Amino acid sequence: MTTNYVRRRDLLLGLGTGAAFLAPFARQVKANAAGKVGQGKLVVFFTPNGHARAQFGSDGNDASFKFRSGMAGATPMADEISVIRGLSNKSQHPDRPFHDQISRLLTTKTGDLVHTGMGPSVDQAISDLSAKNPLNLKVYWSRYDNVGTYQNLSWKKAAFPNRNENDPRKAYTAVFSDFMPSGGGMENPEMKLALEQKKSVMDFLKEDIASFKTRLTTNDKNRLDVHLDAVREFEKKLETAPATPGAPAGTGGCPMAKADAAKAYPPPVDSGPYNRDAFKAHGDIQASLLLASLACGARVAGSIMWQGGAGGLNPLGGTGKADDHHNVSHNDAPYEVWSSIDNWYAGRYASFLKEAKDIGILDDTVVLWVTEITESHSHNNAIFPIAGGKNLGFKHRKSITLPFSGDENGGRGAARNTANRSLSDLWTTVYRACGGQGNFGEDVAGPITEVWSG
Amino acid sequence: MKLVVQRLGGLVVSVSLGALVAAGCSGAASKGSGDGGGPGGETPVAPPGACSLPTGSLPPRRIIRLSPLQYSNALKANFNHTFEASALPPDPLAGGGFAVFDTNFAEKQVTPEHFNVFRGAADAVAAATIKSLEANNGCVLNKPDDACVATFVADYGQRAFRRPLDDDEAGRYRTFFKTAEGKWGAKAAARMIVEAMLQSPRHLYRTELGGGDGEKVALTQYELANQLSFMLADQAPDSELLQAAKDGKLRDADEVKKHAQRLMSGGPARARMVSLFTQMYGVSEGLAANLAKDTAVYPDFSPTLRDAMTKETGTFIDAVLNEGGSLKTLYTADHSYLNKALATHYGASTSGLGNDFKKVSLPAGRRGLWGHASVLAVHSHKDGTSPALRGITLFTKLFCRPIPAAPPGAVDLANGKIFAPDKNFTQREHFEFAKQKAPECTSCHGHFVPLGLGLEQFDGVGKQRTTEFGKTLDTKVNLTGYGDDVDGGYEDTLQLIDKVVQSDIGTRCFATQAFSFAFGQDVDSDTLDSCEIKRLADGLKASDFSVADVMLNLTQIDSFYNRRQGS
Repeated sequence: MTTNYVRRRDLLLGLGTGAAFLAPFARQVKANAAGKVGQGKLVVFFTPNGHARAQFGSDGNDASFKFRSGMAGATPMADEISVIRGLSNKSQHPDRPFHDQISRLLTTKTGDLVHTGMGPSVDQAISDLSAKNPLNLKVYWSRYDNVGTYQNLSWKKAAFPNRNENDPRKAYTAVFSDFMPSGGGMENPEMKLALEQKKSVMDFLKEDIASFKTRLTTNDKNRLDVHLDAVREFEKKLETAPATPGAPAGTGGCPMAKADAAKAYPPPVDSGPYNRDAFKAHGDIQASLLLASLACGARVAGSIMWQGGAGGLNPLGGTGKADDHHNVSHNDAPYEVWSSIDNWYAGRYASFLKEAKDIGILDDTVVLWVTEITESHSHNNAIFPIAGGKNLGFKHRKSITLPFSGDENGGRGAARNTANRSLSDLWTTVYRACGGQGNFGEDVAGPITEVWSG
Repeated sequence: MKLVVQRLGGLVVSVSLGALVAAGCSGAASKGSGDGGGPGGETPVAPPGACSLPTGSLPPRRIIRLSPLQYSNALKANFNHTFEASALPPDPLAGGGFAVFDTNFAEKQVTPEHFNVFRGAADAVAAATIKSLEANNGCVLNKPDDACVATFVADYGQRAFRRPLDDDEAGRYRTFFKTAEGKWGAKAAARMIVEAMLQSPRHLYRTELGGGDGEKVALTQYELANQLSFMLADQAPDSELLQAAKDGKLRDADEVKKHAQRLMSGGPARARMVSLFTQMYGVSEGLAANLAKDTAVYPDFSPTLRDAMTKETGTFIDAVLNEGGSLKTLYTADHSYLNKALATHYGASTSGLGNDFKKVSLPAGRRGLWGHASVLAVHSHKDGTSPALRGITLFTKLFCRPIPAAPPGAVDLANGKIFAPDKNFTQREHFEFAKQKAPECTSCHGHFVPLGLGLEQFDGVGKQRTTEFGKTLDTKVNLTGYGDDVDGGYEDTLQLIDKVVQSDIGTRCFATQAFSFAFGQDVDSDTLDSCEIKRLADGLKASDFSVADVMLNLTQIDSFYNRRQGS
């Protein structure tokens, strides 16, 4: 494939002086970190409304590994995928086990606040290891978008959801306007001076924020902490930035060929069910952006949310209630209709994996396909395709069925049966593979060794 | 106050003479409270005649990050810098169960994504400032003495923070200047000062911290000036308002009212009031732009028609407010502003109409905001009406009743028992079927679905009809339990709305929505019974339901002037 690089001129266009200052650093190679922190990357691939359980997933192992009809579209990338069946979200709220439990999906932490993730999500935690933020992208934009209840997948910490950006141009700006990967080269005195001055402004700003905080309430101090985190994040980039106006672009440089298209992508306004081509194109551009951000070292974790929880868009279309993915998942259409929607997303999953492989990061990147429920609003005995990450110890072409006891369409009580494995085991597996120490989430029994050799 | 316009190269800056004298040209800074709020320490009493709230009922001390529009307006007014508000990530809507507005302070933060944008703007403004100073041979660029640095810090500090700097702030910025000048020269130091000011929380937030340590604290003069201007017009306080703050006049409710009336005579204040209604009903342009319909069911629906629907509502509200702004007119007017396409959609006269929107009499049976296709279509499914969506919106926005969370298993119950009626059921037949199959659901749905059924004379794109599936539609509504002045039977929900907007519950609910919108404050059912809301509702009735009067009266209440200490 053709590999493009971030160009100074592109960054200058429309991105402001901040971008202009940073642009000289953009033509760089990807970061090489010692150990697995920074090497291991995570992508959360979210689709709504669960899966048609019987038709989804895979059977067999190794040579006999084969997808069921709801995942057949992922067959071209079968060598890179395993499927885990049998995990339950034990952190589901006792009174609200619906689509809104998307808020607990990546945190697996319990708590009384219904729509609150109760802590950092796994993508945030992995990003924290590298002092970066996750990149959380969204595709479909509905008028309910701003009601976070069904949208809050990623959490910075309890009560602070990370924003899902659905405008590719804004996402591009957010990632690449201040992108400063490491690299070698001759020092530029002018740029070194500018860096020192920026650092000095940030130092002053930190003191300024600290003095401002003195009389604030606890809530407002927390709010200022987010501001302070933003300053520190930028400061870290300054600290690691080389005073280099353009290091040589070596192999494995930033793969911008597809992501560059985001700069010209029109602001999404009507990616509704009657513009499905836009839905796919929009999703693919977001996917390319996410992959480029990982390949360039600008991010180490992120998510692509095709729709929020309970999203209604049926990418294949349909008539009457079958035109609504959410309705379809509630038995308003035959299972085949639901399964065909799963299969459409399986095609996008495979496409994502292929692009990751083409740009050389799939073996360092774990790509988890998740959804907020299973069937009938249950959060039990769920199915999770997992791909990539071979360099991190993941094994593929495996159909892993973990023991599940009780009503798979039941509530929290069934999920919390001690015989059942928690979704937090999967996050612990991924967290450790990406360099984290210890467990992630609650009710952890341990990593899932059937898929990860550790 | 006379404005002094300084032309500094390409940068035109309007500042008040008084403010400059106070904040910069003398080089003096005020002795302040040190919390960024400016001078404070006044007595936290309610305005004469206003309800004196129990301390616990006041809004908390807080900081409020400027909205994208407010930030853009502030940069334009104080630095003559054009900033595109949409460059900032939108903030999540937030609020109580029945009042959800983009003004709610709780969701406004400076995330890394926001910070990137703010930083870019700060760099751009700082660079433009240096150019202007160079063009005008500003003393600060040429081995400045202490007085020149002090003036520079005070002047740009006031522009950034929308108030004079206090001693501590001014001292820290002067020291920063001197340190930077020593390392990199005066030009770099001046640029860095402006960059730092424009990334400071003192610029990006406005404060409502007040002075003093009591349980109830009085907002400072400059906090009141900022609150008033941003609350009514989304703008930074102008020179007249800053002068009034400097003169210590803004705890005088009459003086505040005078400024409020001045601000409200302008377009920005009217745009803000339009936003109150378009946010309430989800028909602001950005939201409605995503409205999609199944064209197999609604072949006439198109993006062009959708845009016309949104335009109608914005134009109508703006025109009504411009003509005196009666809440009654907004909900009951027998006219609207239509172009030819929308008039055709409504079955109204198209005489003299083209692409432009003109005042048109509406056909019988369609009136007020709830006769607008935008409102009706947004609160519908893409392939049909939704009495539940319409009903919930009426229930929450006209009656201020929160919708409780669905009980465990509610959706499963609905899926299992309700979604299997005759495909030719009308919505009322569907609801009657559901009531029989799952009577436990009616304890909640029984409150709001009937309100929506009373709008079934409008289909999912707001077109009038009398039948569905060959059956005559029954739109009768019966209301009980909302007060003697509204309870009773109605031919349809539009007739009910006519009555509600003039009723006790209707006026208190609107006052509550306006309160939440103005103060960015969560409200709940108890708020409807507060002394302030009752007074605002009384004022609404006394002013023949003037929306502008409600906004004005919001500046005359305890909640405008004082805050609770909080923790």
